[in-house]
Amino acid sequence: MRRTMLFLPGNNPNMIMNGEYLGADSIILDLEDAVSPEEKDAARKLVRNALTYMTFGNREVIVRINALDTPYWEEDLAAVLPCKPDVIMPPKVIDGEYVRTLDAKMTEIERSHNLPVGRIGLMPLLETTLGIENAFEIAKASPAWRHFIWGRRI
Amino acid sequence: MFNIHNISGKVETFMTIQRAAQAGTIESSDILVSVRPGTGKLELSLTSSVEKQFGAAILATIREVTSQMGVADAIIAATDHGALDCTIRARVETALERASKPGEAVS
Repeated sequence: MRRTMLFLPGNNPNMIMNGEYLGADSIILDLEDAVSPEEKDAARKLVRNALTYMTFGNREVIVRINALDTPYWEEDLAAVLPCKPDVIMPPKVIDGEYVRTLDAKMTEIERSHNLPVGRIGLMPLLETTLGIENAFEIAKASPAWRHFIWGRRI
Repeated sequence: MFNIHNISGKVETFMTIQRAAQAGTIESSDILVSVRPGTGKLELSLTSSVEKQFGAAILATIREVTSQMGVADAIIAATDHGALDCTIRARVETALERASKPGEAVS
């Protein structure tokens, strides 16, 4: 059940540590807007370690990565996918090509770490009118093996 | 970062600290790790609100991460405010990586 979803800044250990106890159904470890550009490297390592060493009870654990038009998203995926979060949340998804590019990279990392392909879900955030207009194309671009969930921020 | 074949033929990776850098904060549950080029050996110092109980464990974690990253020559100062082990590891790794990249020192 996904009634409440709690965003936690990926570079704030105090909030990450206490996230489990606030009662949300899903915890979103944020590497995007909550982290300044000069702290992206630090947040990536902190989130990776939190996923590796901490339990979040029976909460669904989601990682919001940086958008594909930034230089950060590939390093984000390389750091967190081997730690097996439940879902990856890509922001500012605008078209099907975005989803296909992201899925190809996720599949490559999953295979290189002997992880089952597709078990980690995708929750694209549609944050622009272009994304909403292309919603059907985005949904069709999701591969059959990938658990696909809608996220909307308009 | 460079590799050396040791006497048994095993490849060892070494990281060179090139500049001063830091990672973390002085907020609760975090640790501020400052790194600067050493004087031929590894020097660690720690200030912690939980030093009496966890000081040795924190220093052991810093030593472990430093060793894993192949750093043997650095001055590391840590100011801890109750960070978990996974936070300490992340902050030390970030500070060492930042310090190993050429560029302007971060004070």
